[in-house]
Amino acid sequence: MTVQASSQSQFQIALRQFRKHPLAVWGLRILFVLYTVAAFAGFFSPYDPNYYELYPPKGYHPPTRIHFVDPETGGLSRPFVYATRRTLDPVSLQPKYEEDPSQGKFYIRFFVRTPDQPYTLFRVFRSDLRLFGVDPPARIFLMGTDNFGRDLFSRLIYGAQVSLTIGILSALVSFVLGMVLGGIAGYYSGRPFTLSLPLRAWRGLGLLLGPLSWALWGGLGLGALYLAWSYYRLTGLGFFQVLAFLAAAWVGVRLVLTLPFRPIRIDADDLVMRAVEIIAAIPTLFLLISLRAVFPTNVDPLTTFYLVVGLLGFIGWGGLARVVRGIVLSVREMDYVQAARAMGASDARILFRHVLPATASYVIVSLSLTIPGFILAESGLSFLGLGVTEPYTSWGLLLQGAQQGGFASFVDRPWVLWPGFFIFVSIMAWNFVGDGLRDALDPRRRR
Amino acid sequence: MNGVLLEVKDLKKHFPIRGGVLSRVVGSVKAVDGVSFSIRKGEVLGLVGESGSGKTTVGRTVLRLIEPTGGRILFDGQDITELPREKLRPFRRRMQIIFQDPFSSLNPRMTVGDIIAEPLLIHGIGKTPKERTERVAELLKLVGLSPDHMRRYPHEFSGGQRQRIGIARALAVAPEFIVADEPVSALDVSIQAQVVNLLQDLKEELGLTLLFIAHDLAVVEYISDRVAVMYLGKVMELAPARELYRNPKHPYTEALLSAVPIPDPTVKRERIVLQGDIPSPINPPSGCVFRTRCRYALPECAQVVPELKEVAPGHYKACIRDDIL
Amino acid sequence: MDEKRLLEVKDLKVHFFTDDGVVKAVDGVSFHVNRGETLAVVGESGSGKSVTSLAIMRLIPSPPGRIVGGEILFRGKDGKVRDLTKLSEQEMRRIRGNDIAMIFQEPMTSLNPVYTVGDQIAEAIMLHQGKSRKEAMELAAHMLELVGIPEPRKRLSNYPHQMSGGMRQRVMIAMALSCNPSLLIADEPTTALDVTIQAQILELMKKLQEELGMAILFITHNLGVVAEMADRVVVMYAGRVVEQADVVPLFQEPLHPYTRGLLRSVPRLDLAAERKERLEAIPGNVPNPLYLPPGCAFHPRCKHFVAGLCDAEVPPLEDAGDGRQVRCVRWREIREVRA
Repeated sequence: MTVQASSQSQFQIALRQFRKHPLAVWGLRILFVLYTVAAFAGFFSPYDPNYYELYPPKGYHPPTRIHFVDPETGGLSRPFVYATRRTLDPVSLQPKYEEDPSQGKFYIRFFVRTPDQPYTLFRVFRSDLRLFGVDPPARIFLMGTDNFGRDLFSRLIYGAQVSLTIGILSALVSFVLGMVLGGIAGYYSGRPFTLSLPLRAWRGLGLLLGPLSWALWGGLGLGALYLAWSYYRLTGLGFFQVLAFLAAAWVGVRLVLTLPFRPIRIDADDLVMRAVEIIAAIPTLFLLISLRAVFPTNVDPLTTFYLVVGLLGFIGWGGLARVVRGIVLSVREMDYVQAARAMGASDARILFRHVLPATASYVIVSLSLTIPGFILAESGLSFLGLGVTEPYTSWGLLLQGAQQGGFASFVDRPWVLWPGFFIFVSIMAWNFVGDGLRDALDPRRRR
Repeated sequence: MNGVLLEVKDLKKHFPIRGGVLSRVVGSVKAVDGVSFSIRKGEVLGLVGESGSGKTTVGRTVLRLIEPTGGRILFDGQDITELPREKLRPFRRRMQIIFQDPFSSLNPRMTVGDIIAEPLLIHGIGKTPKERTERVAELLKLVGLSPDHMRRYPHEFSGGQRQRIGIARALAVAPEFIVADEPVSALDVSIQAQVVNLLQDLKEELGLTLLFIAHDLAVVEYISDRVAVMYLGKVMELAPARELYRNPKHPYTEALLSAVPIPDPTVKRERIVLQGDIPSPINPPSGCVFRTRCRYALPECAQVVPELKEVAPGHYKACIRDDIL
Repeated sequence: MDEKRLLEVKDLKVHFFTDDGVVKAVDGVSFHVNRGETLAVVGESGSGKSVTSLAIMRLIPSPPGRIVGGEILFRGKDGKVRDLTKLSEQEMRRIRGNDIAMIFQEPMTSLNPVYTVGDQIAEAIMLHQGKSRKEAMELAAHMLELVGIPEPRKRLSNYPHQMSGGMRQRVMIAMALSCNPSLLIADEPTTALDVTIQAQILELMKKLQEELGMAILFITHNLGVVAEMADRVVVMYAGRVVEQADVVPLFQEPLHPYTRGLLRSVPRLDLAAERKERLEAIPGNVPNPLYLPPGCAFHPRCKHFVAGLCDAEVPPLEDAGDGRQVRCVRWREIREVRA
């Protein structure tokens, strides 16, 4: 039964449905806060993430204690901190920090300027205004410091920029790949593309495309032969080398026998789905590491960042492509698509106007649910030292730093685990948002 | 014949069945197997049959929404069977389709106005958006809806209203020929009559030619000038509507007509209940495809495929027995 | 309850509580079914006919649906009259399948695709009659024979997908009747079938009713099927009964404007010779159950509508003699108009 009186758009209905999911709403709020803080990292962090002092060193400084009670009067006061003094534990040789009230109280001040540590917002606006800070020589380390004495809180915020955007960017890359490839696979399923022209079709436009297609296939054949040859050159003669050569020869002979007489047709669906299966069959982490190994490690940090985005995206598109293909296959047979064909609409029009929008709700949901996976994957990669590199930082990289010193590091310096906490929170938030979106966009789950 | 708009000769559509690891063709579903008929300008040809008879496939093949396996389709004297896509486009303006399911035939993400304007856009009818909007409003009025409905989405309409939207979309390009594929089967009883009346009015007003596909014999009889009865991919009988219903010549038509329940408890009649089910179109019976359920079947029926031959003026049947009915 | 009566529905109300508001799918429906008779419930989508049948089986999906009022009195095989709305789920399970059986519209989805037909019938028999598997299988084969399936023993080991739609509906009937219920609820049992198969199934149901003597509550929208099957007819519109009568008087002299319109709007094969140029369609649309028109729900589509009268309040279901009932304030005048 249709509802005539309510003229709400699909979007309004979805929004109302989303609001009914309290966890999702909270997830969205948390994400909003996390992303805002990450976007205005310079403003929210009290220090430059790479700033540290050689003397006095502040390595592994615990979180600074914030006092609210004035020790002299016993009454409440504005929050303040004390400067600290460093000593070495004679037994473990670990640094210890003690508050030093003799240097006086250092009140926490808001909207402070730090001319010695300027930052840029969105790579454009230069500023040195920070949300809070204390006057030197005291320091405020909300979450302690790392081994060099860099403020972990500031590094966390800057790490969030990488960790959080890498999730979204990788998801977008895999989304584009998955949509396009899945869409093509589904829409052209059962309608193979002609990828070569036999001699008798070399007429008109065929005169241009024919030789082009031959060149393509000839190149592929020669490539196979060359691979077999290099294999032999590198390893000498053996059973597998002969096998590779035979395989390459077979491909060549088949091409020679086929090209002039019959067109080669390839079903895009087969091609894409086999590719998806191959990617899915290799363990993700192994694939990530081996793909990473193909590229040099000593490139500049920004390139590494994009490299990681590309790799994660490349690995993640399979599942999406598979589902998009399924949806497209079913939508393709819907009467409204048939109606569009009966009107004489072009393939592109049908695909973009009728078929792909039908996948939108699924894609949005799946996007929001894959982002946490990418955040995790990036952390894993950085943890192994294959992800982003200094001076950039990410939550995974910070965790890697945390593990230095083994088990003792967790016992003596528990604050180094903060990045783990943020990974956890952001992933839970994304998952809740994804759940909420699924409930909101899937009419079957509506209550 | 003069004034013939559509002529279909020996139309065949076999859907391949793939199986095995290499997805080789292992057989085929003979959905349509040698169907011939013609429709004159301004005529309504009814096409009835049960599920699996191939009537829907005929309708879609005629419009080249499905590529035929064999046979010829002539539209206004021109062979359109093998026209490439680009050359087919002018014909797409002249022939349209109305679907059975009013829920899957409209894109749920488009407004009614966009849905009806789409064919105008594709064929470049109406240069400015304003012209197109006017045309859409005109079409909505034509099918008995209000132009205010333009901004709404399909889900806000009832089945009957959606069917009207589908009809408006088909009429947008001012076609001469429309395939109506079970246009009322999915509608409520009290709405069916409205849509049948609308189609009848539009046909007269716009001089449309219709191929009206349905399984409801009463509706087909009501709207059609001539009726073709299909069974398992073949035409069994083709005759003027009243003639066919009053005087069925084919045993299948006879059984089909007697199976329709009459909404009058006082009417008592002899019913021929066909035994068994429709055989599989993958492996249809030899000779006459109906012989397995026919009460008049002879051993000869398995030998020859009966031709569709004229048994009375304008009345054709595909049955070797002339001694019955 | 009258001795003759098997089922009596009194002022049944089933409401669905949705986001958009309360849908009164069934709003004060009363009717009864006598032993061994066929009562047809006719209506279009949204009339509440299927919800009524589900309510009798206590199969209303909840949430969002709930039986909010009324009684469903049913005389069990033991002769005791129970109010089905008040039974516990456990007591209800004993009645379902055993005393009241149901067949559905979709023969494709109402059988489980992963079990053989024999297993599914035998399971129902074992559950309700406490028979051994062997006896149950024996009885299942007998039931398949009864519903006219050739080679019943061989068919027992078939899976549903190996059968055609008509065959599956026969299996459903065999399953429904295997415990010899006194009431069979058939919810559009032939809607998904072709006419020739529909004719087979209708013949079969008539034959089985004669042999087994169960009552049938036949839910359909097809007036032809009603004329063929029913002893009495209940016409529903927008969640209420609008007319109730024996089948012959209902078709010969329908009293409610809706029934009259419905009968006139369907093209009839038997009247082909004297047909008119246009069908007499009922204008307008089936109302949205969320926003029912005030007063008589049919008034916006009714050609006998009188402002201030029809849209003021819901007309009562009046007795019209000969056990007929009609819900229309103007039924007497309308009857005159016709005469």
